[in-house]
This record gives sequence, C-alpha cells and structure tokens, in this order.
Amino acid sequence: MIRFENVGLRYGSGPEVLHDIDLTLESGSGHYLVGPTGAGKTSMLSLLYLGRRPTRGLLTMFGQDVATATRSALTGFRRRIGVVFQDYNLLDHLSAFDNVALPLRLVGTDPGMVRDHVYQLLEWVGLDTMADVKPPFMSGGEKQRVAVARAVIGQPDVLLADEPTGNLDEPMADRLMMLFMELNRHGTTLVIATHNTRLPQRFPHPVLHLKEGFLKAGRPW
Amino acid sequence: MVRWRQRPQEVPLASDPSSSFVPTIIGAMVFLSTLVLSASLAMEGVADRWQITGQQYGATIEMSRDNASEEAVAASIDVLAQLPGISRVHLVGDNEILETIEAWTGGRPDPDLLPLPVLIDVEAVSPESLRGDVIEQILEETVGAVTVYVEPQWLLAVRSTVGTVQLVTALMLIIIALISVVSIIYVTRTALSIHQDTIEILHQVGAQDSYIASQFQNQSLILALMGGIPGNVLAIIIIILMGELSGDIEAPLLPAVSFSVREWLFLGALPVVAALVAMVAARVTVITSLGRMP
Repeated sequence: MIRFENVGLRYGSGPEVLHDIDLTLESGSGHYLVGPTGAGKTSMLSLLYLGRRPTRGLLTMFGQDVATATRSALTGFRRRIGVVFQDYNLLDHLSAFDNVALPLRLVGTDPGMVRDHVYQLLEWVGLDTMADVKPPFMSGGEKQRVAVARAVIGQPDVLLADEPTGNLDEPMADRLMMLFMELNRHGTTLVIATHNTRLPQRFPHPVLHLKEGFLKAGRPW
Repeated sequence: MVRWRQRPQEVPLASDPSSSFVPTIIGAMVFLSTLVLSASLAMEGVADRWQITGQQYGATIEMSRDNASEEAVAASIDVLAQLPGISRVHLVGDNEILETIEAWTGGRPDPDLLPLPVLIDVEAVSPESLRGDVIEQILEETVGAVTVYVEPQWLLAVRSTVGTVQLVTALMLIIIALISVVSIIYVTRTALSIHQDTIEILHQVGAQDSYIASQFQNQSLILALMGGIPGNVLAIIIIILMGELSGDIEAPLLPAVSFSVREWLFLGALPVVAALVAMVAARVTVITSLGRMP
C-alpha cells in the first residue's frame, strides 16, 4: 500500500533530514514509529500524510508514485488518510462538531448522516456535551480527542498519529488506542509515532526506529 | 436533543481586514465607471443626433428638378459612384424629403405646391474625397449647375471630439477594471497568507483547491456587491441630477443626459459585472497560488 525506496527529504536547501528510507507498509499493518526528539519522526509522518513530497527516491502510495501524482490525485489520497497531529491542527473558529464533520462534508456526505456520525463519535470520545465548544476553550486532552475523532470519522485506509495519547489520562488513552486497534483489525493501516513506551507493550505492533534520519525496523516491544 | 446545524465557512474570511477594504475600493471603482460610462453613452447620443456615427463622411448634392431628367440623375449617380473614396451614393426619395421638412412646415406639405429639388446623398471614407468644388465641376457636364453641401468643418471637429472622448472613456474603463482586478488579487493574496494554516489543514483533510477557491470567490462576490451597489446608486443619482440641471441650459450641443431603458439597464448592471470580475479574479488567484503548494 505504501512503499519507500531510497527516499530522502530535505527542507529547501537545508541538510537532508531523512536518508535512504526503505520501507513497505502493507495494507492493514500496524507500526510504531519511535526515536529521540529530532530523529525525523514528524518529517517521516509528513511524507506519509502527503504534506511533503520526497526530494529523492521513490514513494508510492495506493500504487501511484507520489512525486508524479497530480494535485487532484493527492487530494484523493489524503481523503484516504486520517491524521492525528501532535499539535492537533484543529480549526479554532469552528466548533468541535464542525471540526469533526470536516472530512465528511468535503466529500459531500448527506448532512443528516454527517450529524449522526459526528454525534456518535463525539459521544464515544466523551465530548458529546462539548459539540458547540471551540478549540480555544478546550483543554489539551479535549482537543486531542477532537483531533482523533476527525481523523477516524472518514474510516480512512491509513491512520497516522503523532503522540495521540500525549495529553490523555490513562483510561482515555487506552480507550483511544483500543479504537485504533479496532480500526486496524478492520484493515486500516496504522502508524503511531510515540515516546510512550507503555503503548507498544500494551498494544504490540512492529516498531520502526528512527535515528538521525535513518530508519531501522525493529521487533515488537 | 440533536439540532439542525448550518454549515460554517471553513476559511474565516469574514473577519479579515479585507472585508472593509474590498467594498470601499469596488464601490469607488463602480462609482467612477458608472460616471465614465454615462459620459460615453451621452457622447454616443451626440453622435446620433448629428448623424456622425461610424467612419463615414457625407455630402448632399442638390440639383434643380427642371434640369435633372431621370437619365441625367442616373448618369450623375454613376459618375459619383466611380469617384475615388466614395463608398455610397443614395438618391433621396421625395417621401424622405417631405418627412424631413415636416418638422419645419408643421405637417406633410403638398408636393404639387412645394417644388422639391433632387437630392443625392454621398458618403465617403475620408473628408478629402468630398471636395465640393470638384464634384460641382464634374456634375456640371452631366446635369448642369448643382449645389454641393459638404459636411461642415465644425461637424468634423464634433466628430473628432466625440471619437476622442469615447476613446478616453474606454481607456478609463479599462484602467478602472485593471485597478479593481489588481486590488482583488492583492487582497486575495493577503487573505491566503493570513489563512495559510487553515488552508494547509483543509488540504490535509482532503479539500480540493477548487473547494478552497470557492470560499474566496464567494466572499469576493459578496463584498464587491456590498460596495458596488451603493457606488452605482450614488453615481446614478448624480447623473439624474446633472440631467435635470443640463435641461435648464439652452445649449444644443451639450450631450443629452436622458438615456433609454436599455442604457439605464446597462449602467445598472455595472455592480454585477464588477462583482463577477472580482469573483473570477479571486478564484484565479487562489487556484494559481494553491497550485504552487506541495
């Protein structure tokens, strides 16, 4: 489903931050992406969610070379990818409801269906009473749950999460991880970047180690 | 209790500083263009009044009916048609002559009581082709003495002035349109810069460029109408007041400020045209700018 061959990434004319990445993510697989701060985890995720194109090498996604794909094709790919960003990336002027509804509205889902799905998911993450609250009036944990709800509402083929449990208490973190695992069991490819050593132990999956821009595959923790 | 929700604007353009700038600039531009266009239409009215539209120059040849047999008139027409630069030769019928002089006689005169001359209208592509003395000399051999009334010099000056004014107003309209388009491009680029983070998030959740562009174009359309309509109304009030004032002045050459329904509609459509131009300019700017993103 996703294949990296000798991929490198640099920002502008700066030094290369990812080097010679070779990786294949099969459909329905699950991986943790770990590494120290500055190792390139966020850069690696930005390639995966198509925020950037590689500066060298071959990155294919859903069978198509990302470097040569049209903008319209990239939009189609992005709709199949759900992302939980470390800093949430919510739209501050929209309510929790409207933030979560965004992916469905962009593909023209019926408003009644949007309403039902969004309320269902907000209830699941424990925010059904905060549907009209905007992100600036939410705690970090609440924003994170909204971000998770937005990432999964479109039932994506690929789910990428950057420290998805960073601001959550243990019961809520476990609850969200169980949701991720459930999606993974139903075929969603999962990549979770984390510093939390407890997650791979509790929810085992292969680990990808990033160090100074180089990637090493590892065993489950 | 689940309640109905109105879909919000994902890019919060309504709170931008441009929300006040665009109506002001478009309002001013529509105000100016309405005045300029009305001046152009008024000059067209002057041209129509003096029948000096187009690029033709005219002369009328009068000959006595006693001297002009049908054969002689036909021969004259042939001779005139073959002169260099002459584009049209037209024998003015008696009915046409009678209709023309009705305004002075107060009714249709009896052609038996009023001796009518034979009149031939001639049109040429340049004033040099219409030298009265030359035409008189040529026709003297065919039908004897004739009188040639060439379009007077002052009418040529009016024609030249009308043409110049219309050219200047057209240039002014183009400049006004360009200023409007450049302003919209500037405002749109500023808004793109302000909302870059929002646009990146929208892209990441799967928004097409055209979807994002539609939010900018709709906002431009609304803001341009908000400015354009008052600007247009104000200009039309001024035009009507000027029309009232000019009606009190005895100056036959002043442009008439009374427009036909079609011309008023034309003037009234300017805010819509400006809004559509603003909309297209915003859309093209957004699509072009987003095309440069990864």
